Amino acid sequence: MLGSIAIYIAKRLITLFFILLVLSIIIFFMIYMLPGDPAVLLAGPEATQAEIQMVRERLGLDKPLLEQYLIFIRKILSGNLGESIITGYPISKLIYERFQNTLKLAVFSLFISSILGIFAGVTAAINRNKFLDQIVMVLSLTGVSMPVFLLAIILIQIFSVWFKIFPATSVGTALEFRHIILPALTLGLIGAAPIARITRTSMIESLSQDYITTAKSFGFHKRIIIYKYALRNALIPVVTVMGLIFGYNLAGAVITETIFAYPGLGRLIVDSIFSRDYPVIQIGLLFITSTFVIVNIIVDILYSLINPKIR
Amino acid sequence: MIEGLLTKKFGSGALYTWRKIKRNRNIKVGFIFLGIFLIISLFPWAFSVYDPYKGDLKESFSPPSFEHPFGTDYLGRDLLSRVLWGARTSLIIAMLGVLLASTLGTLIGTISGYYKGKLDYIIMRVVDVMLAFPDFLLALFIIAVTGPGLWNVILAIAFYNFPQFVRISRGSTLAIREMDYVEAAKALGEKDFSIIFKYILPNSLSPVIVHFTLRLGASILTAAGLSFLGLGVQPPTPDWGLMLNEALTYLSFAPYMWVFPGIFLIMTVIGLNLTGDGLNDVLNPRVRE
Amino acid sequence: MNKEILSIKNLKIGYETESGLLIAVNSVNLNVYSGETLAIIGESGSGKSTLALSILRLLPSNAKIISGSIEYSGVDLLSLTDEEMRKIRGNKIAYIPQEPSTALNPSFTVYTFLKDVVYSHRFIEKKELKKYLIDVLKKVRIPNPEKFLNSYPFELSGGMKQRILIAASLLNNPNLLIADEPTSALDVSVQAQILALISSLKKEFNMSIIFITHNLSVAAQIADRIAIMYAGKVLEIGDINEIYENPAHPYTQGLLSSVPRLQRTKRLRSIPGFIPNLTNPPSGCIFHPRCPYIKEKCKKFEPKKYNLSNNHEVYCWLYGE
Repeated sequence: MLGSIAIYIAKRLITLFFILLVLSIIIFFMIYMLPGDPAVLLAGPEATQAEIQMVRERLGLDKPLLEQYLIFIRKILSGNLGESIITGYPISKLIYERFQNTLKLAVFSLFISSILGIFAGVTAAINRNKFLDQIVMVLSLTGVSMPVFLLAIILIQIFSVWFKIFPATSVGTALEFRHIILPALTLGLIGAAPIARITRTSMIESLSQDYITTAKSFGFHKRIIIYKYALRNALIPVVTVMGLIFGYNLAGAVITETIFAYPGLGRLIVDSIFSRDYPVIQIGLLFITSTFVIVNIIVDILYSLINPKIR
Repeated sequence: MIEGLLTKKFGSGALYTWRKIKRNRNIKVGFIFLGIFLIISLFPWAFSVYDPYKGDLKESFSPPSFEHPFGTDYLGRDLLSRVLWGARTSLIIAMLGVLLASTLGTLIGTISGYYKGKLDYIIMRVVDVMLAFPDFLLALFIIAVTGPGLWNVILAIAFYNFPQFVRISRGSTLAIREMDYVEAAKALGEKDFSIIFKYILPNSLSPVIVHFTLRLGASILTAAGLSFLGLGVQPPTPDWGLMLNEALTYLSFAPYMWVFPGIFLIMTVIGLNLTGDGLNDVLNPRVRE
Repeated sequence: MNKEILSIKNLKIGYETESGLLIAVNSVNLNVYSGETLAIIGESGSGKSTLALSILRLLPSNAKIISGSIEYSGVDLLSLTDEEMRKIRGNKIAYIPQEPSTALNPSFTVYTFLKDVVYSHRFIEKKELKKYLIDVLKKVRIPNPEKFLNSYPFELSGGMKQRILIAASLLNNPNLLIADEPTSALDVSVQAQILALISSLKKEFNMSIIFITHNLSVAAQIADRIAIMYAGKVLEIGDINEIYENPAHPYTQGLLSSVPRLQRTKRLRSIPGFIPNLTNPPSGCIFHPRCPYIKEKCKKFEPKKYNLSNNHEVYCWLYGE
């Protein structure tokens, strides 16, 4: 039985490697999909002829495509990610700083989503088809249908304009805890909706199992039956969804970060699209997508580890 | 009347499905929201006399009143007509984008699933890579390459929905091609082309239809998101995402600038999601415990 | 004369289904006396499981207790609050489920489960608890109880799981044990062991047992009295030997003669017909459509109880008027 798990993991890792490979090729090619001379694009709008020529040589832009690609890969793997053509700041440092912020945001939002979502889902399941269940279902439908920026605006209206508790942006100041609350709340509320849904479905299924009736027949307390016996088994698919949401937050908190001017990776990419900072766009997209793919594969593997033991 | 037509063209199975659709509560409620959306997006001029592009600066930032039921924005444009015409923008983008994705995607997915072999393998690898991107980032990537603008947004929407339709239709095709009546048709010498069109496509439609409806909702959100960031539809075209962006700047004293587009946006998506869920219940029933 | 430990009076239970209200238990009267084993015999659909589950109020949500009472030590169980009922389950009255393979939660060890069974009703120190558990496990003849406590259900065989459930039911010294077809899911050799185990435990723990089964020979090995159920009604009830030697009800006679025996040379006999539709049961005697001795009266009037002896009752118009 252990062998089949190892094979599955190996397969997933191969897929991972393959996807990362194709990803790097596509991103590498991005420059060529744009109109204009790649050297000019990569050197920046302020570059002189000499600088453009330097870029051309350094990246080997007059060499055949395959060689260029290999140079690209070698540079990345050796940690030299280039500099921003707008600010000149080394990209690796840029990503390192920004990613930390995005990570903090992703973890905090996941925490909020999970607590809210699991609690709502359990409540809905034990009050199935009654009033509380309907409310939870409506709320989670709203959460799934609501655009991130709308929720952000609503929260800003409530907490920054009406109640003046939390700041709407962190522009111009060092990043403190209060700057992370509104963005985390935004992502957290939105993420709670799918978690609530799957917790509910999973709990309903778990509660209908024979071992719950057995627990009841031996006189277990209701709280123990629900939160120990039913929830434990119900959480398995929920944890998978949590992992997926985490990956999504890491990669896609683009809009949230932009609204709140939060110094994260997503906002970095958007800013660089506007300023046509191609090296940053390339590396940024590559990094973000790789992270997303890696997290997904880890979730896959973890799920396969938890699952066969039960089935 | 509709029932007679359905039975004549598609047989009694279609009638049964139609009846189930009529009874499903999700679809009924969803359709109400959708109906509103469709009406205002198809006939915006019926509800407002103002030109959504022309603004009267003297009237800017006026709260909702009799002349301007939704108020006016920072350029003095009537918000009601901007919301109505914004519906049309979303409709065009989402419809065209998802239609493109679903037609191409279903076609390729069906062919891939029918013929299998090397072609199938390659297509599935490409699809896997596309699916490896988080939704929004794929659209963002397209925009990064093509630049902003209405048609580029449609392209981005089509692009990021495409792989899912390939996968779904391929799955259905794989299942259906094993069915007896397909084997029979093959044995009778029917051509591949006609088999695909007569047997496989019609029967793989249900999951595609459900997915189509659900993706419309997600696509409207993505398009609005891109416009919100300034990377989608460009001003002065009326678009809900754009309007929310503009509203953000004037949040503290003109909340009506975001409330109305926000309400319509979320109602439309809820309508689509409800309808999609309802269709899913009807067309793909799961066995209840 | 032993006193009654459980007294079921006029119990009527129905299930709400799409085709209407299905009467699963139809005005049943039944007593269980202290220290005895009562076997309830019936085919599938006779209502015996519903009856068993209703004693501890474990019925699913679409079941309705329409009328009647279930008295335990003078208290009507149907009138108790949820919390009062909880204190009785697994404590004064214990239930052993039918299907051991799905009854245990796969995520928890045997130890966790048994510990929860005890702690739901009383408190014992951890060390004493462990000793006690090992003791009880030994009593149900589980080899190597120490290692066993740390096992997960998926590591155990059906027979082992059933023993765990039996052990769990004994942990709090119940007065009444309800065993719902405890051997149906096991093979014959294991069956014999479990039956012997239950018999010896009964004496040791001084309990009364309600034993649900469809198998006459299993009942013969273990019961003092039996009750024959059919389509929700009790047709005959009394001392097991009396009934086996002199089955009174035509249905019972049919049951006994359809048991295959090794020396039989004639063809197997079965009772012609099918169980009636329980959403629309037949009028009069519920068995009349299949009865070989049917009279006009049977179609119109429900038979009253007739005492054949002081430990043998039957509900049939063949007896008494």
